Parts: sequence; structure tokens; C-alpha cells
Amino acid sequence: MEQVICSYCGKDNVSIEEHAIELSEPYGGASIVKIKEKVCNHCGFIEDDDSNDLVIKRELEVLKRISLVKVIDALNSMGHTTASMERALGLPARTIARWKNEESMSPSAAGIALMRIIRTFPWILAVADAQFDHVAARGLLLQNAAKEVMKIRTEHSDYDVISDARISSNHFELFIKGSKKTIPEVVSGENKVFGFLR
Amino acid sequence: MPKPQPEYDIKDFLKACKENGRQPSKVVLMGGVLRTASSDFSLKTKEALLAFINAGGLENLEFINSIPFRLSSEVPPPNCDAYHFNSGFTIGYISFFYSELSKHWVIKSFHRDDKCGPTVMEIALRNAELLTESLKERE
Repeated sequence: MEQVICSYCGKDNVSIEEHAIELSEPYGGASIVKIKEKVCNHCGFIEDDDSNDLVIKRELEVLKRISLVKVIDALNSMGHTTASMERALGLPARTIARWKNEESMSPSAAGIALMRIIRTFPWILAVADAQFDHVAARGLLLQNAAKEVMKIRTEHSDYDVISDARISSNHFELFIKGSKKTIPEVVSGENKVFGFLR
Repeated sequence: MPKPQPEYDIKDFLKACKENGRQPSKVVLMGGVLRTASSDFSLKTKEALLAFINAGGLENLEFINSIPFRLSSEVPPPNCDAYHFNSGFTIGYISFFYSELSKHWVIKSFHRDDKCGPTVMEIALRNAELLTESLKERE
């Protein structure tokens, strides 16, 4: 058995302590792994054990796979077929389908990041479909921002949410304003302001 | 008392991180470093952390202080240099020291700046030489 030595004082009076840590991947959930820490009984130095990297990497691979499958499933359920996504993104046919279905075919880190961005903002696919045209992209951004405002309005019924966009020759205004519907507080606040002004 | 100048040439530390591919590793992570590197910067392995440093990830390094490593068995104890750095939208804090005893660089802390270390205001006051007496030791 390999002798464990303290990297700080060089003594071999080292014990191994296990700690559970939580690993997570976006859209992939979380899992607990046990990592080792070397604790020197001579000098008290505590250090990360080099074997942890392997344990963590293995678990992250599992979580990344789960994450990717969940992301693609979610996009499919929104109506984005793998074929249409591949076409919009300019990926070779069946690339995303193989990422999802073939265990041995894992996308690169960049591929995973791309799919997560699309999962977070699915309308990016429409931007890609429009060949990243700047005007189309801006229109889609504002259109989806408006949809989000509508969602906020329904999610927070105790708030008045007002949004508007105006453009004149020398003025541009875009705002989203939320205010709670409890009028008495506003009135007392205004009274305080007016009291101060007097 | 914290030293106003770094104990080490930062280039030596960065060079050691670069050479880490060789065995045995010359850079050691103290217990807990991996946890905060993972939670605060999504750097989940030692390899990822050192690769990040190696790729120039510690941007706009700003020296904070240099104070003795309290838990040291060395006499005198090695000094631990602490820096702020930027990475994207995040301000980070790293502290490290070199042990003459073991000939290893030890990364003692690596986390977001808001968990400990002097505040941005304290650094600004010290840089303006308005904070001398009251600066307390921090790790």
C-alpha cells in the first residue's frame, strides 16, 4: 500500500477523512460524492487528496449526460425537433439526435454550453434560423421580453405591471414598471414627502 | 502586522501552476479550497482550477496583504500573500504561500471576494493611505 505523506511537513502520520460534497450541473440535477482530505496528525495541515479529481470527473460526466438528455427532451416538448434545431444551427444531420441517444457520443463542452443556452432562451433558435440577422434578432428579443412581462403580470397578481416602448425623433423609452397594489402605503409615503417639503 | 508588499513574485506562483502537469505536483490545495472553487467559480477539480490560473484566469490581480500562515509548523511561519482578481462578472480572492519546508506552493483560499478579506472600501482607503492603524489582520 502506498505511503501517504503530508505535502507540508513530509511526515507519514497522515489520516484520510472523507467528506460528502454536492455536485450539480445546470438542468442535470445534483448528486453527492465523497471526497478525501489528507489530515496530518503531526502538523495539522489539511489538504485535498489528488485522487478526488477522478471521482469528481466521473460523476460530472454522468450529470452532464443527464443534463443534455433533459435539455433536448425539454426542447423537443416545446416543439423544437432535433432535425429543425440541427438545421437552424448549421449542425450536421443527426448530431443532436446522436448526442441524445448514443451513450458513446458525447458533445464537447462547447456543445453542452450551446444546448444549455438554447434551453434557457429557446427563441435563440429563431435568431439562428434568421441567419443571426441583427434586425430580426432585436425584434425577437423585444417580442420575447414582452412575453416575459406578460408572464410576470400573471405570476404577480398583487402588482400592477406596466410596460411600454416609445420612439420619437429625439427620444427612446423602454420600461417595465411594477408597483404593489397596496395604496395606503403609497399615500402615507407621499404624505411624508409633502410634510418634509412644507 | 500585514506586510504592505507581496512576499513572493506572483510570476513564480503562476509558473508553478503551469508546471503542475508534471508529477509530483508542486501545487497543493488546502482542505476546503476545492469546495469554494466549485461553488463560486464552477471549477470543480484541481486540474480545472490550475488550468484556469494557467490560462490567465486571474485577471487584474490586486495585492491585498501578506500575513503569516497561522497554522504553520515552520519557524518562522511562511507568509501568505492574498490578492483580489476579476473573472467575468465576479471578484475573487486567492491566498497562497510557499513552504520552504516542503518546497510546495499551497493555495490556502480561493473564493468569491464577498466571503472574507478586506472590503473594496478598505482596499480603496488603504491605497489612499487613509487606513494604516485600523487595518486588522484578515485571512
